[in-house]
Amino acid sequence: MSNEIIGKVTATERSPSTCTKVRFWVKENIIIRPFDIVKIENLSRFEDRELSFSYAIIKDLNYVSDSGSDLANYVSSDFGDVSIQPLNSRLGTTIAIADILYNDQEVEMPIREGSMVCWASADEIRKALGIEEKPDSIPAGYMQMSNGEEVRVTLRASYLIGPEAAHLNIAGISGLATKTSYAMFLLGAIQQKLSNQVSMIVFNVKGTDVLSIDTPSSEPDGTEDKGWEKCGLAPLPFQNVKYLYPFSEKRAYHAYTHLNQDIVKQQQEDGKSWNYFYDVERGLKRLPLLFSDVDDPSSSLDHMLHQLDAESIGSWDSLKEQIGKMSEKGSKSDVHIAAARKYKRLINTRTSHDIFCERAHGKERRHKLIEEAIEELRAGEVLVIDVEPLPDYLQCLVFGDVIETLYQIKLGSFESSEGETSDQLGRVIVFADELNKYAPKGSEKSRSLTGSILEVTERGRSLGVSLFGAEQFRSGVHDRVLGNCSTNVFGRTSSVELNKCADYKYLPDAFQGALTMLPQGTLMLQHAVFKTSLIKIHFPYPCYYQPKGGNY
Amino acid sequence: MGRIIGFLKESNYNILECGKISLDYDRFTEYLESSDHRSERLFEDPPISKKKRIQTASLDATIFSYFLDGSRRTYKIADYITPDGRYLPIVAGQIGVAVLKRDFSTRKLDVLRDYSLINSLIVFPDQGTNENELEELGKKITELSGKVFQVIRYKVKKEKEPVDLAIAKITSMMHDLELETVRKMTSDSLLSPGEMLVLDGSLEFAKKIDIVQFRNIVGISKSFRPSSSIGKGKGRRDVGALVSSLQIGERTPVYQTTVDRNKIGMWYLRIRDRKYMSNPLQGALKLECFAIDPDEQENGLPSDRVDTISACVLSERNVTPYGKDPRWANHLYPIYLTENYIKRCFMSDTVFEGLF
Repeated sequence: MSNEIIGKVTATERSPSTCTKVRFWVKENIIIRPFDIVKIENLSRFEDRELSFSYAIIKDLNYVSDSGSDLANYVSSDFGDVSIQPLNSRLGTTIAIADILYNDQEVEMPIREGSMVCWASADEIRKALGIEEKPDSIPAGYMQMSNGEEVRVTLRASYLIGPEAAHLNIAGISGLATKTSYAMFLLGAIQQKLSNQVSMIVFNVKGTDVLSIDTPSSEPDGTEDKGWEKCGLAPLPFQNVKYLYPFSEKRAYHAYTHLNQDIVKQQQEDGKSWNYFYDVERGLKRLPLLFSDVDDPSSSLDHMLHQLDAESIGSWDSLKEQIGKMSEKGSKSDVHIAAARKYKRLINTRTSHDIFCERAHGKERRHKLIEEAIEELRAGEVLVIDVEPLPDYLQCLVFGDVIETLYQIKLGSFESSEGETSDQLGRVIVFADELNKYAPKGSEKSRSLTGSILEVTERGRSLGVSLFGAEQFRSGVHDRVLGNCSTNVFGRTSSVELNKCADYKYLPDAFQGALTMLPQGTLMLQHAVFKTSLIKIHFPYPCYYQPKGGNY
Repeated sequence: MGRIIGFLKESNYNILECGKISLDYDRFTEYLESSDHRSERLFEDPPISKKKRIQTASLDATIFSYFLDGSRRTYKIADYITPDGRYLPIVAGQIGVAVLKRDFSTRKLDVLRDYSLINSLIVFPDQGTNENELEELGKKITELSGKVFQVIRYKVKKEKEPVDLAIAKITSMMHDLELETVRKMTSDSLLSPGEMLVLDGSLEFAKKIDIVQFRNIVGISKSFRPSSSIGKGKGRRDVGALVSSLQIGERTPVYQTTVDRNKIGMWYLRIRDRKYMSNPLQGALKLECFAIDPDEQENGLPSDRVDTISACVLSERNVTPYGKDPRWANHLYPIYLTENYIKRCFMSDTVFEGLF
């Protein structure tokens, strides 16, 4: 199959072959499409070999005929008679435009007119893309060629989670269950391949899809199991998973979540879920994160926190009391009274949630600070944090808290409850959807949260912290966060976004067109070690249980 | 690979190098394929009066399976001073013939490579040259250039431009190639009444031919001389007057013309609507068939056969090379493709001239 000749190279005065581009006409009745990879004869650099072979990825297809103009076609239908069926078919052929990926003798000469083009085999395609099997290869899906060839696609862990490069971003419109599914597929693949080297923190920001990821799927799909096989993976749910839910005083099992209560109960009985809270001591440290969406050009909040008598603050109520005094007339505070009143109001409002409380003595509340949960996390484990029921500003607090705690642990500046620094996390992956909420475009000056995320994306790879982010629109995310991602995944998007976001502009028209029509389970992938800008991949559906949301 | 001109200059002939000039400019674009043979007699059985409307044939009904065209390119490459002091041109050329076959399932046309041929020629004047010497010279040029060249002679005539005579010789060689291809196709039994060959141009070859080989061949000319007369007596009219009165799908009666005692039935057919044409003759074709059987030779071509051929020609009118060829309205697309195929098989002007 792979040796079937499917066309011949065409090089003309106007469209010559170059070191990087080649065009070929396609044999009649051969079906090809963008992202197919073909093998083309080229000159040999060795005397004992007749040919070398170049490999090229198809970027676009044109059908050309010998018609001089649209008018010629109109004339050829008896001057516009739509009922006419011409006796003769016009001369025409499909021209494929392809980018050279690789040559097996490192020949970079432009490919000559008339050179034979044939299908490439799976091994040849992997070599051409630069994804031959390595010890740190992570399955990332599979490609399907038009001739039926299926090629396993792998990413290099050292370029996905450090130290060479790191961070992954997934963009695509919602509703196709693709972004989260792909991130979870990739995390599952990492857990299977690098189980004892990587820990993971997953944020649940919508629905309840990732709140039972250690439970096998209740709807096994035989077809999709083959997808896992094609990727060289076992269709297994995640192992060693812990769950954190927002604490609630009144809800069942004190978990403020949409997840079905029976599942919460089971998770608590199995000893793998807790309810997170902020006591005033930890809360004070992270208070700027709670107001990361509030403009504070004169740093009033910092001044106020600095002037607090920390020794005398034993509870959230005493904090509110001290803040209240600062906002009273005649206060000795040098913070402007209007700013003090604003923050008094904000603190009262934003710390009214049940998660702002003091540690309970009984075990039934299953209290756990987020930093405690991270400190206890070990390589090979997954921590799922549910932030979905929380308002945006609390989501930002929790996300920022995780990032800063991780960073402190990695930098060795975190003091554990035992008073020692602790880092048994291995490499850490943090996955969060709706990244645009945490690191919106052009926001670093005023947002401490964006600053933390930028710090992680710019220095995290050397520390072993990788951010897997997802969002609907890349145009809404901070440029430097995206720019530091070594791996980018593009899901289906709208033509408005294609025009709006500069990152899509460099893609060929055919790729841009394909992005607006990607079916479920299909994505485009860009990775630091690929020898092409983008490849189209398929991946299997999640094989863990995705519960429907229950009531509060 | 050495330059041919350098080799020629070292020969016994007094060769003067000149700039290479392409001679393929259209000198008589409108009447290029015209002839001066008279056509007086109506040649159709039963005869029709003035004109007849024809219906388009469907793909299933068409009887045209093969399309043949010949083409040439000519270049003046040097001048030659003969021993008796004449100054005469040496002309080189590329000639080619191609046959395309219709694939009825796809409506596309494929090249019949076994019946397609390209030759390269160098034409010397016959004065001051020896045929055997030139044959030897041709072998040496072939060896030198790596391309097969045939070296031949043109006959120098008084009051005729030597360059035109050289070109005529090359054109004649091209016709020989066409006739050879027809002979081969006939002997290979490719042609039949249901699988006819369309030949581009007139059947009025200035050569001895065996007309039996032309039983299933129609000659179609894109151009003709409008001032030549057909008919006789009161019915005598100029071709231009006759053709300009035709509407789309109408044909004239068949007239007889005779070349070298071979009778040819000739008629005109309009394949394009006049209202879209820029002149009265645009969109009209001249069709020719040999009268082969005794009955045809005596009474003319059967009217129903003429109608069938006309219907098939009419159905070939689409698609068109509109915008690509100024003769688009008179071109049949398969012939246009055949012509293009040959031209693309020729060496480019740059490469060919570079050999010299």
